[in-house]
Amino acid sequence: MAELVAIDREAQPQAVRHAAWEAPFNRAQPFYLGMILYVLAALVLFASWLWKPLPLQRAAFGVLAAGAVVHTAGLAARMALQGRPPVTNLYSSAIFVGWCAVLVGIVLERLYRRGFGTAVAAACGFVSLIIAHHLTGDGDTMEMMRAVLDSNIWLATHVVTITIGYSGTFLAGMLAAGYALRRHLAPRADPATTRSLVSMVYGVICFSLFFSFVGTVLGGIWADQSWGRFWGWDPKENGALLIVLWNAIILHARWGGYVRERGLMAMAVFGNVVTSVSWFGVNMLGIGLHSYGFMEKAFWPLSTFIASQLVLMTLCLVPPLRSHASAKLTSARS
Amino acid sequence: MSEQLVPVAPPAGEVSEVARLPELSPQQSHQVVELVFRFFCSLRLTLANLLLLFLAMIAGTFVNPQNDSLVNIERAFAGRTTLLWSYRTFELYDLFHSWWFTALLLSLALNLIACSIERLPRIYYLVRYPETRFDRVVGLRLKVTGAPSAISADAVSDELRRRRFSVRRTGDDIFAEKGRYSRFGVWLVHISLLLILGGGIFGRLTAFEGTVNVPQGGGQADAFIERRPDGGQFRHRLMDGKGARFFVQCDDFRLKEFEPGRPKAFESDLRLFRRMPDGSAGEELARQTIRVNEPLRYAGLTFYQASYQQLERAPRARISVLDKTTGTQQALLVAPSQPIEAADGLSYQLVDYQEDFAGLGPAVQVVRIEEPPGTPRSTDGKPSAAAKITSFWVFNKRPDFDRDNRPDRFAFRFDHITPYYATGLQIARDPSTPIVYLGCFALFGGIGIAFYTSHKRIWAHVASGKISLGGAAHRNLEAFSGEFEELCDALGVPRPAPRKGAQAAA
Repeated sequence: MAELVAIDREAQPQAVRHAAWEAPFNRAQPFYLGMILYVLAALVLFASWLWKPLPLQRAAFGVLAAGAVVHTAGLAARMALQGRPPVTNLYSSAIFVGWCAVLVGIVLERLYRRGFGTAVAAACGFVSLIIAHHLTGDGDTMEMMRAVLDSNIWLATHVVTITIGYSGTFLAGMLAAGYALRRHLAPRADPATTRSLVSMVYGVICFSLFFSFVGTVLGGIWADQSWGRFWGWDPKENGALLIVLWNAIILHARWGGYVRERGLMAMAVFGNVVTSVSWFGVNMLGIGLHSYGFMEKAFWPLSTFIASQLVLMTLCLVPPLRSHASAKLTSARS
Repeated sequence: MSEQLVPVAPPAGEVSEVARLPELSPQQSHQVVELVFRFFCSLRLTLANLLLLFLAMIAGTFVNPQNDSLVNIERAFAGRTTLLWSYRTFELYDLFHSWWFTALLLSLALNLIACSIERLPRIYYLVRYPETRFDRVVGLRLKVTGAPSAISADAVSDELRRRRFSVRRTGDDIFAEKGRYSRFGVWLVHISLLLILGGGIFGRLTAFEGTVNVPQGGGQADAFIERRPDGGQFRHRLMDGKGARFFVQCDDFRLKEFEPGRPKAFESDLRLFRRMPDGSAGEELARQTIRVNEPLRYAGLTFYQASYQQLERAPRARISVLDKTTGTQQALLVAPSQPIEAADGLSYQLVDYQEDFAGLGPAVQVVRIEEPPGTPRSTDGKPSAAAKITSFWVFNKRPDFDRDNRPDRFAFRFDHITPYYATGLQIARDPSTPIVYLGCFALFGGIGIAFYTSHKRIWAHVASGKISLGGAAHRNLEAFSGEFEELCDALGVPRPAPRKGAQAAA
């Protein structure tokens, strides 16, 4: 055994060094810890809405930041161990989507300071890590790469950019989902917060349109470099373009004044559906050049998710469920 | 009840009323043009186009996902006439190249062109001839009027210049602006989208791709097959831009696997040769080892490593043959019993393979067939009765054993046994790519300018110890209001009162 290790060490010194680190990494479970911290941040924030807003809101932000640090460390460790950019398979894309959403959420919280950024960032982080947890499959999340994906430059540029685009669209959708729930649960909501929510969603949609577009184009360049064509209407390419198109539709509808607050939010929630379908749906179809993570199991979870988003869209559009009169009264008084 | 008689045919010399468009006065015809133009530059049409494109793309992803050709679809849906009719009429078997999808893209392009035509002059005039007087500007959200102040117009101009505004003064009026280029961001976005769409349409007309399998070990191909979505097949000859023909030769193919059945990487050594008019091979044009993500490009064609295929069930042996008289060595990939014609009347054949020959490792058995001089070539490949036949073994682990121990003109080395593959090449041509690239990069810039910069303007009126100040930004007013407040502080002017219910500007 010792002899074998010695031979390995001589032949592939780096691999052996990495293996020495991989075991503690697996034991530490940084993403599990991150998940717990995100839940905690969300709970503290919910508490802040019921009781002692300011100090608890700050505490929640602190816990969220701690979660982000752990999440970042885990991501960095994975990159070092694999010697690859952050996104290499479906599992790592989930982790990366969550990480970006958390970071953008933190930025939003610093800009608007209403606690909403914290809430949505914590929710995004938690959900994406849960999804990642269910994507681990047989437990090996650092498996070998498919031949077609084995290119660090393109993984680092195209895949990362497009994943940031996914994550922005999800974040906008989550913010809008938060808006939908708030509308019905807290009818006396402060209109200034509503306005900043609208401008947060608008800004995040611009952000994700930019990244999903750049990512799609980089994908086209990769396709041209390796397959000799820029665009082939492959399901995954279509999925990426659908996200771009949907974000462009939202922005044009808003510019033209065809949608206002509620419409914008409902459309942003639908962005979640578009993104989840092009992220997972294409892999489930198991067709096209890009379907590298085939999985049939995800059909029911995905359908449930889509149904829930449709419910949230309805909640964005219908009048508040809780007594409308009291809300009117307060707004009349102020 | 009287019946009015209607002539069935138009009177002689006149065209049918149905076919004739109503005569329009110059004014009316102007109105029609105006209406058409209005239609194409409306945001409503943009939204409708984008939504239809969105729905069409969803349909295209889920209808016929396996890219079955029309022939196969007709076979699968035989008898279901309505379904087949819609498949044929709307070209659903190849939705993304159907007439109506192209029409949708064209409509989007017209929409963009009309919008650009409508916008550009307006933007230009707005930027070229701005309203410079404070009292003529209406609807300012950021405004301070008649604040008592001892500051001079010069000092205000200097302060604005210090803040990187370009300043114009007419009497007591000061007009300052920065970020004018920001107004053209949207325009750049539209132009680059047009480039991309135009490139796409150009690509539809000129691009093609096809496949060909070339056996390893010297297999050649001078054409490839394009499979059209309607089930037709098209054979493209390989030729460069000037129509000179060439062919591709696969010298070798290598497959690396993580474990059997899980390919890690595969690659082919390709060479391109000119095909001479008499069919022989001419000069070598290009040579490259291609892998996934590393294609060979020549004369606008891309040779991409797409797949591989095992050709024969029996594996082949990789051997090399040394001619002791000339010193030349030749690497070969030979099938069992395939004759190796070494010299006149002298040939060899591989007849057996042992994974471990008497503890000496992998080895192949070679048969040497020497015909007496003057024997005519056999027609059935079998040696003649007079032939001298001997056999010997060649060992992988002792490469020089055969050379040193067997007196013969030719010495053998045995490398390994390998399946016999054909490399699967995808050959594609798309001359529209540079246009699309240009459009994409212009679009990056355009979106960046359109989303993240804004045209900021300040108006000031300084007279008789009073100052009025107004500001506007065509995007992200919230951020600009902070800048405006800083300016107020610097000039010693009270900040504008926050307006109630001011919408965050989009």
